[in-house]
Amino acid sequence: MSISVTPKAASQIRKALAQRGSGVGLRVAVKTSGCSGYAYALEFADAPSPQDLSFESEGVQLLVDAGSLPMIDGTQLDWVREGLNEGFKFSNPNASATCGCGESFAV
Amino acid sequence: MSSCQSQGQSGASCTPSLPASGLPMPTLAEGAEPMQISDAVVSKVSQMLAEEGDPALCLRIFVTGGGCSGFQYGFAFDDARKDDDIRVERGPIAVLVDAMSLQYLMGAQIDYEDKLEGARFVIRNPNASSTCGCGSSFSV
Repeated sequence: MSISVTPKAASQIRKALAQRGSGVGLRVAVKTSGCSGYAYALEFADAPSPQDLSFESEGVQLLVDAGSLPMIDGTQLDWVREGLNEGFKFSNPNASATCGCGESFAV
Repeated sequence: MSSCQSQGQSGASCTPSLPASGLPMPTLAEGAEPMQISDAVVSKVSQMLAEEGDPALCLRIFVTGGGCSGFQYGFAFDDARKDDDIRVERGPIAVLVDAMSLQYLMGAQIDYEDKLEGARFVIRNPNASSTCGCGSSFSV
């Protein structure tokens, strides 16, 4: 099981970490909320937690807690520009429905 | 902005978290602006116009049908003012809103958020009875 990022997402993660000045990578988590039941949560990771699984993709480190991984296994994170807005976009093969901007999903 | 895509047979559609309440349109005090535009919007739009090399462009904000909650917001740059547009100026930038969209945006706060998840224009809308996901869709 793993998750990955596109080159554009990797470049954005590197940029965000550089602006922040510290951090080893990006933690991707799943929380229960949003219209479709689950929502993605992103945060800077300063160090891996004991329950984290670590993946490297396009040169950046991604951390996912073991409990969240089955719901996002195979997910690819992209950075997309839509009109005047830009942000991370999740392509999650486990999601049966997504909602709005894609931050919420059902499995 | 993408709309609500319910792709499965599970019936997991995007149900607004609050029922539509049919709130009356707010009325504006004498001399009040129809919308509040934040400093972050002024700063970001100024930067984008400098990148475009065209300081005459306006930020157009519009409302279309769609999204999980029935309506969604759109943002674009426009150099042409239409007959039914209102124009709100704030420092070096100008915002255009057509009359139909204005009905839904009266009294709204326009802001720009730059966060880890992404950078986007957001609308805090007193007319919306519920919003969905990232706030790109709303109902009245």
